[in-house]
Amino acid sequence: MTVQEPEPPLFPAGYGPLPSDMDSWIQQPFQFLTTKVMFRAELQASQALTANANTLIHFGSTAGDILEDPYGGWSTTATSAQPAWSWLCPAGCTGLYEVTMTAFTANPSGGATAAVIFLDGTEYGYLAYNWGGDGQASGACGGGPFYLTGGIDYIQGYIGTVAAVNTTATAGQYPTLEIAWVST
Amino acid sequence: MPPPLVTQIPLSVVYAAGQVIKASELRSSVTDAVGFLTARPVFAGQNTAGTTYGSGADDTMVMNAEIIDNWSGHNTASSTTQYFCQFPGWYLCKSVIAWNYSSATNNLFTSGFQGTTNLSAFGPVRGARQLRVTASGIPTTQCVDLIKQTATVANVGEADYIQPTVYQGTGGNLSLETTATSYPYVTIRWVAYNAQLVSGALSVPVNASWPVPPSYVTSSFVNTNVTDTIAFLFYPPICKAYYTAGTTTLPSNTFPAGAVIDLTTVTVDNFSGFTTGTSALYTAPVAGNYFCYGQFNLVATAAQFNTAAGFRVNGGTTMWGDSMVRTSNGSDGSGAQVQKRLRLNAGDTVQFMGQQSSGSAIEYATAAADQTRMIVVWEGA
Repeated sequence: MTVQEPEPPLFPAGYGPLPSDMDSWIQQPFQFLTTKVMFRAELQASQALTANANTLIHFGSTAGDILEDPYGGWSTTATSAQPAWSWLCPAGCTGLYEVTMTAFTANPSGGATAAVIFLDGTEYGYLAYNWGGDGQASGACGGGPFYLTGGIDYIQGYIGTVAAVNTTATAGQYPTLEIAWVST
Repeated sequence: MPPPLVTQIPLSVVYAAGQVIKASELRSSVTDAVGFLTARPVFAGQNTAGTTYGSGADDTMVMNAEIIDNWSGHNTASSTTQYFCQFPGWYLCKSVIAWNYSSATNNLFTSGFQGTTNLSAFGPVRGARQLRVTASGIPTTQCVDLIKQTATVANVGEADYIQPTVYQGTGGNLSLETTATSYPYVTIRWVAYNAQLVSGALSVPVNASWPVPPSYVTSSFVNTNVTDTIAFLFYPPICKAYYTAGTTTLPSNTFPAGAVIDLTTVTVDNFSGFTTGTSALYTAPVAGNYFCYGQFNLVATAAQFNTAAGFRVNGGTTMWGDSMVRTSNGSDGSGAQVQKRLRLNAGDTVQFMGQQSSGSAIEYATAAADQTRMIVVWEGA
Protein backbone atom coordinates (compact mmCIF):
# COMPACT_ATOMS: atom_id res chain seq x y z
CA MET A 1 0.00 0.00 0.00
CA THR A 2 1.41 3.41 -0.92
CA VAL A 3 0.36 6.49 1.01
CA GLN A 4 1.07 10.19 0.66
CA GLU A 5 3.37 12.27 2.79
CA PRO A 6 1.49 12.82 6.08
CA GLU A 7 0.50 15.90 8.03
CA PRO A 8 0.87 15.59 11.81
CA PRO A 9 -2.55 14.35 12.94
CA LEU A 10 -4.83 16.27 15.29
CA PHE A 11 -6.52 14.28 18.03
CA PRO A 12 -9.72 16.02 19.18
CA ALA A 13 -10.67 15.55 22.80
CA GLY A 14 -14.12 14.23 23.65
CA TYR A 15 -14.57 12.62 20.27
CA GLY A 16 -15.27 8.98 19.69
CA PRO A 17 -13.08 8.10 16.70
CA LEU A 18 -13.96 5.37 14.26
CA PRO A 19 -11.35 2.79 13.29
CA SER A 20 -10.99 4.60 9.98
CA ASP A 21 -10.12 7.80 11.86
CA MET A 22 -7.36 6.01 13.74
CA ASP A 23 -6.08 4.57 10.45
CA SER A 24 -5.90 8.08 9.00
CA TRP A 25 -4.27 9.56 12.09
CA ILE A 26 -1.88 6.78 13.04
CA GLN A 27 -1.62 3.87 10.67
CA GLN A 28 -1.20 5.77 7.39
CA PRO A 29 1.34 8.37 8.59
CA PHE A 30 3.49 5.66 10.14
CA GLN A 31 3.06 3.53 7.03
CA PHE A 32 4.61 6.33 4.97
CA LEU A 33 7.39 6.90 7.50
CA THR A 34 8.14 3.18 7.68
CA THR A 35 8.34 2.56 3.95
CA LYS A 36 9.07 6.07 2.58
CA VAL A 37 9.34 6.60 -1.16
CA MET A 38 12.01 4.41 -2.72
CA PHE A 39 13.06 3.67 -6.28
CA ARG A 40 15.87 1.32 -7.29
CA ALA A 41 16.92 0.27 -10.77
CA GLU A 42 19.84 -1.30 -12.60
CA LEU A 43 20.69 -1.50 -16.29
CA GLN A 44 21.28 -5.13 -17.14
CA ALA A 45 21.65 -4.88 -20.92
CA SER A 46 24.61 -3.24 -22.59
CA GLN A 47 24.00 0.29 -23.89
CA ALA A 48 26.31 2.25 -26.18
CA LEU A 49 27.67 5.52 -24.79
CA THR A 50 28.69 8.50 -26.88
CA ALA A 51 32.22 9.81 -26.48
CA ASN A 52 32.65 13.20 -24.81
CA ALA A 53 28.94 13.44 -23.99
CA ASN A 54 26.30 12.51 -21.45
CA THR A 55 24.12 9.59 -22.52
CA LEU A 56 20.62 9.02 -21.10
CA ILE A 57 20.54 5.58 -19.49
CA HIS A 58 17.59 3.40 -20.43
CA PHE A 59 16.77 1.80 -17.09
CA GLY A 60 13.85 -0.52 -17.68
CA SER A 61 14.83 -1.55 -21.20
CA THR A 62 15.16 -5.10 -19.90
CA ALA A 63 12.60 -6.87 -17.75
CA GLY A 64 14.06 -7.00 -14.27
CA ASP A 65 15.83 -3.64 -14.48
CA ILE A 66 13.38 -1.96 -12.13
CA LEU A 67 14.13 -3.51 -8.77
CA GLU A 68 11.44 -1.60 -6.90
CA ASP A 69 9.14 1.30 -7.66
CA PRO A 70 6.08 1.05 -5.42
CA TYR A 71 4.76 4.46 -6.47
CA GLY A 72 5.12 3.69 -10.19
CA GLY A 73 7.23 6.77 -10.87
CA TRP A 74 9.41 5.26 -13.61
CA SER A 75 8.31 5.36 -17.22
CA THR A 76 10.14 3.90 -20.20
CA THR A 77 7.87 5.85 -22.57
CA ALA A 78 6.94 9.50 -22.80
CA THR A 79 3.66 10.52 -21.18
CA SER A 80 1.91 13.84 -20.69
CA ALA A 81 3.69 14.18 -17.34
CA GLN A 82 7.20 12.95 -18.06
CA PRO A 83 9.59 11.96 -20.85
CA ALA A 84 10.78 8.44 -21.50
CA TRP A 85 13.34 6.93 -19.16
CA SER A 86 12.50 9.15 -16.21
CA TRP A 87 11.23 8.91 -12.63
CA LEU A 88 8.38 11.28 -11.76
CA CYS A 89 8.15 12.29 -8.10
CA PRO A 90 4.81 10.95 -6.84
CA ALA A 91 1.99 13.45 -6.32
CA GLY A 92 1.59 14.23 -2.63
CA CYS A 93 5.21 13.34 -1.84
CA THR A 94 7.01 16.65 -2.28
CA GLY A 95 10.25 16.85 -0.35
CA LEU A 96 13.98 16.37 -0.25
CA TYR A 97 15.19 13.20 -1.91
CA GLU A 98 18.62 11.65 -2.10
CA VAL A 99 19.60 10.30 -5.48
CA THR A 100 22.47 7.82 -5.72
CA MET A 101 23.85 6.56 -9.00
CA THR A 102 26.63 4.30 -10.19
CA ALA A 103 27.98 4.83 -13.70
CA PHE A 104 29.64 1.70 -15.03
CA THR A 105 31.27 1.15 -18.40
CA ALA A 106 33.61 -1.20 -20.20
CA ASN A 107 37.31 -0.37 -19.96
CA PRO A 108 37.72 3.30 -21.00
CA SER A 109 41.54 3.11 -20.82
CA GLY A 110 41.67 5.63 -18.01
CA GLY A 111 39.20 8.05 -19.60
CA ALA A 112 36.83 9.93 -17.33
CA THR A 113 33.51 8.40 -16.22
CA ALA A 114 30.76 10.43 -14.55
CA ALA A 115 27.35 9.79 -12.99
CA VAL A 116 25.19 12.76 -13.98
CA ILE A 117 21.63 13.61 -12.95
CA PHE A 118 19.23 15.62 -15.08
CA LEU A 119 16.34 17.36 -13.28
CA ASP A 120 13.30 18.20 -15.41
CA GLY A 121 15.31 17.63 -18.56
CA THR A 122 18.24 19.87 -17.63
CA GLU A 123 21.67 18.79 -16.46
CA TYR A 124 21.66 19.45 -12.72
CA GLY A 125 24.87 18.03 -11.39
CA TYR A 126 27.57 15.41 -11.17
CA LEU A 127 27.16 12.82 -8.44
CA ALA A 128 30.55 11.28 -9.19
CA TYR A 129 33.46 11.86 -11.54
CA ASN A 130 36.38 9.45 -11.77
CA TRP A 131 39.21 8.64 -14.10
CA GLY A 132 38.05 5.24 -15.17
CA GLY A 133 39.77 1.93 -14.96
CA ASP A 134 42.76 1.37 -17.23
CA GLY A 135 42.56 -2.23 -18.33
CA GLN A 136 39.40 -2.94 -16.34
CA ALA A 137 35.79 -1.77 -16.26
CA SER A 138 35.17 1.72 -14.95
CA GLY A 139 32.84 2.79 -12.14
CA ALA A 140 31.88 6.11 -10.59
CA CYS A 141 29.27 6.29 -7.86
CA GLY A 142 27.90 9.01 -5.62
CA GLY A 143 24.80 10.67 -4.26
CA GLY A 144 23.27 14.07 -3.86
CA PRO A 145 20.22 15.99 -2.58
CA PHE A 146 17.31 17.00 -4.79
CA TYR A 147 14.20 18.90 -3.69
CA LEU A 148 11.37 17.49 -5.78
CA THR A 149 7.78 18.64 -6.20
CA GLY A 150 5.32 15.77 -6.35
CA GLY A 151 3.67 15.23 -9.72
CA ILE A 152 5.93 17.78 -11.44
CA ASP A 153 9.66 17.15 -11.07
CA TYR A 154 11.32 14.20 -12.73
CA ILE A 155 14.79 12.66 -12.56
CA GLN A 156 16.89 11.03 -15.29
CA GLY A 157 20.24 9.29 -14.96
CA TYR A 158 23.03 9.90 -17.48
CA ILE A 159 26.54 8.57 -17.84
CA GLY A 160 29.22 10.92 -19.05
CA THR A 161 32.26 9.36 -20.66
CA VAL A 162 35.29 10.49 -22.63
CA ALA A 163 35.62 7.19 -24.44
CA ALA A 164 33.04 5.65 -26.79
CA VAL A 165 32.32 2.54 -24.75
CA ASN A 166 29.34 0.45 -23.72
CA THR A 167 27.86 0.00 -20.29
CA THR A 168 28.76 -3.32 -18.75
CA ALA A 169 26.24 -6.16 -18.95
CA THR A 170 27.85 -8.19 -16.18
CA ALA A 171 26.16 -8.73 -12.83
CA GLY A 172 27.85 -6.61 -10.20
CA GLN A 173 28.90 -4.05 -12.80
CA TYR A 174 25.48 -2.72 -13.82
CA PRO A 175 24.82 1.01 -13.79
CA THR A 176 22.35 1.71 -10.99
CA LEU A 177 19.99 4.51 -9.98
CA GLU A 178 18.36 4.87 -6.56
CA ILE A 179 16.01 7.58 -5.27
CA ALA A 180 14.97 7.81 -1.61
CA TRP A 181 12.70 10.25 0.24
CA VAL A 182 14.50 11.98 3.09
CA SER A 183 12.37 14.78 4.55
CA THR A 184 9.83 17.45 3.70
CA MET B 1 3.60 23.71 3.34
CA PRO B 2 6.00 21.88 5.69
CA PRO B 3 4.56 21.21 9.14
CA PRO B 4 5.82 23.23 12.12
CA LEU B 5 8.99 21.87 13.66
CA VAL B 6 8.65 19.48 16.57
CA THR B 7 11.60 20.03 18.84
CA GLN B 8 10.85 17.65 21.71
CA ILE B 9 11.24 13.89 21.98
CA PRO B 10 7.87 12.17 21.50
CA LEU B 11 6.13 10.82 24.57
CA SER B 12 6.55 7.07 25.02
CA VAL B 13 3.64 5.48 26.85
CA VAL B 14 3.61 1.74 27.49
CA TYR B 15 -0.06 0.96 27.95
CA ALA B 16 -1.53 -1.55 30.39
CA ALA B 17 -4.71 -3.53 29.84
CA GLY B 18 -7.74 -1.37 30.43
CA GLN B 19 -5.76 1.87 30.43
CA VAL B 20 -7.54 4.83 28.85
CA ILE B 21 -5.81 6.35 25.82
CA LYS B 22 -5.93 10.11 26.20
CA ALA B 23 -6.08 12.50 23.26
CA SER B 24 -3.37 14.57 24.94
CA GLU B 25 -1.06 11.53 25.03
CA LEU B 26 -1.61 10.85 21.35
CA ARG B 27 -0.79 14.48 20.54
CA SER B 28 2.48 14.18 22.48
CA SER B 29 3.37 10.82 21.00
CA VAL B 30 1.87 10.32 17.54
CA THR B 31 1.48 13.95 16.46
CA ASP B 32 4.95 14.91 17.62
CA ALA B 33 6.55 11.79 16.16
CA VAL B 34 4.90 12.25 12.76
CA GLY B 35 5.79 15.93 12.79
CA PHE B 36 9.43 15.31 13.65
CA LEU B 37 9.99 12.33 11.36
CA THR B 38 8.31 14.04 8.43
CA ALA B 39 10.45 17.15 8.80
CA ARG B 40 13.56 15.67 10.40
CA PRO B 41 16.60 17.97 10.43
CA VAL B 42 18.26 18.14 7.05
CA PHE B 43 20.71 20.57 5.56
CA ALA B 44 22.11 20.76 2.07
CA GLY B 45 24.53 23.52 1.19
CA GLN B 46 26.82 24.52 -1.62
CA ASN B 47 29.90 26.53 -2.34
CA THR B 48 29.06 28.62 -5.40
CA ALA B 49 31.79 31.18 -4.80
CA GLY B 50 34.82 29.32 -6.12
CA THR B 51 36.61 29.83 -2.82
CA THR B 52 40.40 29.46 -2.98
CA TYR B 53 42.30 27.20 -0.59
CA GLY B 54 45.99 26.66 0.07
CA SER B 55 47.84 23.43 -0.55
CA GLY B 56 48.57 20.66 1.92
CA ALA B 57 46.01 21.42 4.64
CA ASP B 58 42.50 20.34 5.59
CA ASP B 59 40.56 23.61 5.38
CA THR B 60 36.94 24.09 6.35
CA MET B 61 34.72 24.76 3.35
CA VAL B 62 32.57 27.85 3.04
CA MET B 63 28.92 27.03 2.30
CA ASN B 64 27.59 30.31 0.97
CA ALA B 65 24.41 28.87 -0.53
CA GLU B 66 21.68 26.62 0.86
CA ILE B 67 19.53 24.10 -0.97
CA ILE B 68 17.55 23.29 2.19
CA ASP B 69 17.98 23.98 5.90
CA ASN B 70 14.63 23.12 7.47
CA TRP B 71 15.81 23.57 11.09
CA SER B 72 17.99 26.65 10.47
CA GLY B 73 21.20 25.06 11.67
CA HIS B 74 23.30 27.01 9.20
CA ASN B 75 23.86 30.67 8.45
CA THR B 76 25.01 31.97 5.08
CA ALA B 77 26.22 35.24 6.60
CA SER B 78 28.40 34.09 9.50
CA SER B 79 30.07 30.85 10.55
CA THR B 80 29.27 29.65 7.05
CA THR B 81 31.46 26.56 7.38
CA GLN B 82 29.43 25.16 10.28
CA TYR B 83 26.13 23.33 10.67
CA PHE B 84 25.02 23.53 14.29
CA CYS B 85 23.21 20.63 15.89
CA GLN B 86 19.51 21.36 16.33
CA PHE B 87 18.40 17.99 17.70
CA PRO B 88 20.51 15.24 19.27
CA GLY B 89 21.25 12.16 17.24
CA TRP B 90 23.31 10.58 14.52
CA TYR B 91 23.74 12.58 11.35
CA LEU B 92 24.59 11.09 7.96
CA CYS B 93 26.98 13.56 6.34
CA LYS B 94 27.99 13.58 2.70
CA SER B 95 30.17 15.85 0.60
CA VAL B 96 31.04 15.98 -3.08
CA ILE B 97 33.87 18.43 -3.75
CA ALA B 98 34.95 19.46 -7.26
CA TRP B 99 38.10 21.51 -7.92
CA ASN B 100 38.90 23.94 -10.71
CA TYR B 101 42.06 22.14 -11.80
CA SER B 102 43.20 21.55 -15.36
CA SER B 103 46.86 20.61 -15.05
CA ALA B 104 48.08 17.16 -16.04
CA THR B 105 50.32 17.03 -12.98
CA ASN B 106 49.31 14.18 -10.72
CA ASN B 107 48.19 15.45 -7.31
CA LEU B 108 46.14 14.38 -4.31
CA PHE B 109 42.59 15.57 -3.58
CA THR B 110 40.35 14.60 -0.69
CA SER B 111 37.57 15.90 1.54
CA GLY B 112 36.17 15.12 4.97
CA PHE B 113 34.38 16.35 8.08
CA GLN B 114 35.38 17.75 11.44
CA GLY B 115 33.51 19.33 14.33
CA THR B 116 32.49 18.50 17.88
CA THR B 117 30.61 15.65 19.53
CA ASN B 118 29.36 16.51 23.01
CA LEU B 119 31.55 19.61 22.67
CA SER B 120 34.73 17.54 22.16
CA ALA B 121 36.54 18.17 18.90
CA PHE B 122 36.97 15.42 16.31
CA GLY B 123 38.59 15.20 12.90
CA PRO B 124 39.20 16.04 10.24
CA VAL B 125 38.39 12.54 9.06
CA ARG B 126 38.57 12.25 5.29
CA GLY B 127 36.86 10.26 2.58
CA ALA B 128 38.63 8.20 -0.05
CA ARG B 129 41.65 9.92 -1.53
CA GLN B 130 41.68 10.67 -5.24
CA LEU B 131 44.74 11.14 -7.42
CA ARG B 132 44.64 13.39 -10.45
CA VAL B 133 45.29 11.47 -13.69
CA THR B 134 44.96 13.51 -16.86
CA ALA B 135 44.57 17.12 -17.94
CA SER B 136 40.93 16.65 -18.93
CA GLY B 137 38.30 16.31 -16.25
CA ILE B 138 37.47 17.66 -12.83
CA PRO B 139 38.98 16.24 -9.63
CA THR B 140 35.89 15.34 -7.59
CA THR B 141 36.19 13.80 -4.14
CA GLN B 142 33.52 12.19 -2.00
CA CYS B 143 33.13 11.60 1.70
CA VAL B 144 30.32 10.04 3.75
CA ASP B 145 30.40 9.84 7.52
CA LEU B 146 28.02 9.07 10.38
CA ILE B 147 28.53 11.63 13.14
CA LYS B 148 27.01 11.86 16.61
CA GLN B 149 25.72 15.20 17.83
CA THR B 150 24.64 15.81 21.41
CA ALA B 151 24.73 19.42 22.54
CA THR B 152 22.04 21.60 21.00
CA VAL B 153 22.22 24.95 22.80
CA ALA B 154 21.98 27.43 19.96
CA ASN B 155 24.88 29.64 20.92
CA VAL B 156 28.26 29.49 19.25
CA GLY B 157 30.60 27.50 21.47
CA GLU B 158 27.74 25.75 23.26
CA ALA B 159 26.35 23.53 20.54
CA ASP B 160 27.89 20.67 18.62
CA TYR B 161 28.62 21.37 14.99
CA ILE B 162 29.83 19.71 11.81
CA GLN B 163 32.12 21.28 9.20
CA PRO B 164 33.07 19.93 5.77
CA THR B 165 36.79 20.00 5.02
CA VAL B 166 38.64 20.12 1.72
CA TYR B 167 42.22 19.20 0.85
CA GLN B 168 44.33 19.66 -2.25
CA GLY B 169 48.01 18.92 -2.70
CA THR B 170 48.90 20.87 -5.83
CA GLY B 171 51.58 22.92 -4.11
CA GLY B 172 49.79 26.23 -4.71
CA ASN B 173 46.47 27.93 -4.15
CA LEU B 174 43.49 26.37 -5.90
CA SER B 175 39.82 27.30 -6.29
CA LEU B 176 36.73 25.16 -6.08
CA GLU B 177 34.66 24.61 -9.21
CA THR B 178 32.32 27.41 -10.27
CA THR B 179 30.41 25.59 -12.99
CA ALA B 180 26.81 25.33 -11.81
CA THR B 181 26.61 21.61 -12.50
CA SER B 182 29.76 20.98 -10.46
CA TYR B 183 29.30 23.19 -7.39
CA PRO B 184 30.75 21.47 -4.33
CA TYR B 185 27.89 20.43 -2.05
CA VAL B 186 27.27 18.97 1.38
CA THR B 187 24.34 17.12 2.94
CA ILE B 188 23.93 16.75 6.71
CA ARG B 189 20.81 14.93 7.86
CA TRP B 190 19.46 13.35 11.03
CA VAL B 191 18.97 9.59 10.70
CA ALA B 192 18.61 8.30 14.28
CA TYR B 193 18.29 9.43 17.87
CA ASN B 194 21.06 8.82 20.43
CA ALA B 195 19.15 6.20 22.40
CA GLN B 196 16.17 3.86 22.24
CA LEU B 197 12.95 5.42 23.60
CA VAL B 198 11.60 2.22 25.17
CA SER B 199 13.29 -0.89 26.49
CA GLY B 200 13.24 -4.24 24.74
CA ALA B 201 13.93 -5.50 21.24
CA LEU B 202 12.24 -3.63 18.42
CA SER B 203 11.06 -4.86 15.04
CA VAL B 204 10.03 -3.12 11.84
CA PRO B 205 6.57 -1.57 12.32
CA VAL B 206 3.72 -3.53 10.76
CA ASN B 207 1.28 -0.59 10.91
CA ALA B 208 -1.84 -2.70 11.31
CA SER B 209 -5.31 -1.34 10.61
CA TRP B 210 -7.23 -0.44 13.74
CA PRO B 211 -9.65 -3.12 14.92
CA VAL B 212 -13.25 -2.90 13.79
CA PRO B 213 -15.95 -3.99 16.23
CA PRO B 214 -16.65 -6.56 17.50
CA SER B 215 -12.85 -6.73 17.68
CA TYR B 216 -11.42 -4.24 20.15
CA VAL B 217 -8.24 -2.34 20.80
CA THR B 218 -5.90 -4.05 23.23
CA SER B 219 -2.98 -2.57 25.11
CA SER B 220 -0.72 -4.89 23.13
CA PHE B 221 -2.09 -3.49 19.87
CA VAL B 222 -1.44 0.10 20.95
CA ASN B 223 2.01 -0.68 22.30
CA THR B 224 2.97 -2.41 19.05
CA ASN B 225 1.44 0.06 16.61
CA VAL B 226 2.11 3.30 18.47
CA THR B 227 4.76 3.08 21.18
CA ASP B 228 7.11 0.55 19.59
CA THR B 229 6.55 1.98 16.11
CA ILE B 230 7.69 5.43 17.24
CA ALA B 231 10.61 3.92 19.12
CA PHE B 232 11.82 1.97 16.08
CA LEU B 233 11.47 4.87 13.66
CA PHE B 234 13.44 7.09 16.06
CA TYR B 235 16.19 4.53 16.47
CA PRO B 236 16.44 2.33 13.38
CA PRO B 237 19.49 0.16 12.76
CA ILE B 238 22.65 2.18 12.14
CA CYS B 239 26.26 1.05 12.13
CA LYS B 240 29.71 2.47 11.57
CA ALA B 241 32.90 0.41 11.74
CA TYR B 242 36.43 1.30 10.76
CA TYR B 243 39.95 -0.05 10.45
CA THR B 244 42.27 0.76 13.31
CA ALA B 245 45.83 1.27 12.13
CA GLY B 246 47.71 -2.01 12.01
CA THR B 247 49.57 -4.01 9.40
CA THR B 248 46.71 -5.50 7.40
CA THR B 249 47.09 -5.35 3.64
CA LEU B 250 44.71 -5.34 0.71
CA PRO B 251 45.88 -8.10 -1.67
CA SER B 252 46.29 -7.49 -5.37
CA ASN B 253 43.50 -8.92 -7.51
CA THR B 254 42.43 -8.87 -11.13
CA PHE B 255 39.04 -7.15 -11.42
CA PRO B 256 36.32 -8.18 -10.69
CA ALA B 257 37.93 -10.34 -8.01
CA GLY B 258 38.28 -8.52 -4.70
CA ALA B 259 38.96 -9.01 -1.03
CA VAL B 260 37.00 -8.32 2.14
CA ILE B 261 38.06 -5.07 3.80
CA ASP B 262 39.37 -5.58 7.33
CA LEU B 263 37.30 -3.52 9.78
CA THR B 264 38.35 -3.78 13.38
CA THR B 265 36.55 -1.18 15.48
CA VAL B 266 32.87 -0.31 15.87
CA THR B 267 31.79 3.28 16.54
CA VAL B 268 28.06 2.58 16.66
CA ASP B 269 26.02 -0.59 16.06
CA ASN B 270 22.71 -0.17 17.83
CA PHE B 271 21.19 -3.51 16.70
CA SER B 272 24.40 -5.56 17.19
CA GLY B 273 24.78 -6.49 13.53
CA PHE B 274 28.50 -6.04 12.97
CA THR B 275 31.25 -8.67 13.13
CA THR B 276 34.80 -7.28 13.07
CA GLY B 277 37.96 -8.79 11.59
CA THR B 278 39.45 -9.84 8.31
CA SER B 279 36.08 -11.33 7.30
CA ALA B 280 34.17 -8.31 8.60
CA LEU B 281 30.48 -8.24 7.82
CA TYR B 282 27.20 -6.62 8.79
CA THR B 283 24.25 -8.92 9.42
CA ALA B 284 20.95 -7.15 8.78
CA PRO B 285 18.98 -7.32 12.04
CA VAL B 286 15.68 -6.55 10.30
CA ALA B 287 14.45 -6.54 6.72
CA GLY B 288 14.44 -3.37 4.67
CA ASN B 289 16.28 -0.97 2.46
CA TYR B 290 19.71 -0.03 3.75
CA PHE B 291 21.99 2.78 2.68
CA CYS B 292 25.48 1.28 2.60
CA TYR B 293 28.74 3.17 2.25
CA GLY B 294 32.34 2.01 2.24
CA GLN B 295 35.70 3.69 1.67
CA PHE B 296 39.27 2.48 1.89
CA ASN B 297 42.58 4.30 1.79
CA LEU B 298 45.96 2.73 1.02
CA VAL B 299 49.49 3.86 1.83
CA ALA B 300 51.57 5.60 -0.83
CA THR B 301 53.03 3.44 -3.58
CA ALA B 302 54.84 4.47 -6.73
CA ALA B 303 53.13 2.10 -9.14
CA GLN B 304 50.22 2.82 -11.46
CA PHE B 305 47.25 0.57 -10.83
CA ASN B 306 43.44 0.41 -10.48
CA THR B 307 41.31 0.50 -7.34
CA ALA B 308 37.67 -0.48 -6.85
CA ALA B 309 35.19 -0.65 -3.96
CA GLY B 310 31.96 -2.62 -3.70
CA PHE B 311 29.57 -4.65 -1.56
CA ARG B 312 28.60 -8.26 -1.65
CA VAL B 313 25.52 -9.77 -0.05
CA ASN B 314 25.60 -13.26 1.44
CA GLY B 315 28.97 -13.93 -0.18
CA GLY B 316 27.59 -13.46 -3.71
CA THR B 317 28.76 -11.36 -6.64
CA THR B 318 30.32 -8.07 -5.59
CA MET B 319 28.34 -5.02 -6.68
CA TRP B 320 31.02 -2.48 -7.51
CA GLY B 321 30.92 1.28 -7.11
CA ASP B 322 34.10 3.19 -7.86
CA SER B 323 36.50 1.45 -10.25
CA MET B 324 39.28 3.73 -11.40
CA VAL B 325 42.93 4.17 -12.21
CA ARG B 326 45.56 6.02 -10.23
CA THR B 327 48.78 7.05 -11.89
CA SER B 328 52.21 6.54 -10.40
CA ASN B 329 52.73 8.74 -7.38
CA GLY B 330 55.13 7.68 -4.67
CA SER B 331 54.18 10.35 -2.17
CA ASP B 332 50.40 9.97 -1.88
CA GLY B 333 48.18 7.02 -1.21
CA SER B 334 44.85 6.51 -2.94
CA GLY B 335 41.55 4.78 -2.29
CA ALA B 336 38.04 4.11 -3.54
CA GLN B 337 34.47 4.38 -2.24
CA VAL B 338 31.07 2.87 -2.86
CA GLN B 339 27.57 3.92 -1.85
CA LYS B 340 24.48 1.91 -2.66
CA ARG B 341 20.99 1.23 -1.43
CA LEU B 342 20.50 -2.49 -0.87
CA ARG B 343 17.30 -4.37 -0.04
CA LEU B 344 18.13 -6.95 2.60
CA ASN B 345 16.25 -9.67 4.41
CA ALA B 346 16.81 -10.10 8.13
CA GLY B 347 19.94 -12.24 8.47
CA ASP B 348 21.48 -11.21 5.14
CA THR B 349 25.15 -10.30 5.40
CA VAL B 350 26.90 -7.39 3.71
CA GLN B 351 30.67 -7.25 3.26
CA PHE B 352 32.70 -4.28 2.12
CA MET B 353 34.99 -5.37 -0.71
CA GLY B 354 38.10 -3.77 -2.15
CA GLN B 355 40.29 -4.36 -5.17
CA GLN B 356 43.68 -3.07 -6.26
CA SER B 357 45.73 -4.32 -9.19
CA SER B 358 49.29 -3.27 -8.32
CA GLY B 359 50.61 -6.83 -8.32
CA SER B 360 51.54 -6.68 -4.63
CA ALA B 361 49.62 -6.36 -1.40
CA ILE B 362 49.35 -2.79 -0.08
CA GLU B 363 48.81 -1.73 3.53
CA TYR B 364 45.85 0.36 4.51
CA ALA B 365 46.69 3.96 5.36
CA THR B 366 47.50 4.32 9.03
CA ALA B 367 46.83 8.04 9.56
CA ALA B 368 43.68 8.56 11.60
CA ALA B 369 42.47 11.13 9.08
CA ASP B 370 42.62 8.67 6.20
CA GLN B 371 40.13 6.24 7.58
CA THR B 372 38.94 2.99 6.02
CA ARG B 373 35.33 2.46 7.08
CA MET B 374 31.85 1.11 6.41
CA ILE B 375 28.51 2.70 7.27
CA VAL B 376 25.05 1.12 7.23
CA VAL B 377 21.75 2.94 7.82
CA TRP B 378 18.26 1.36 7.66
CA GLU B 379 16.11 3.66 5.53
CA GLY B 380 12.77 1.95 5.05
CA ALA B 381 10.82 -1.28 5.00
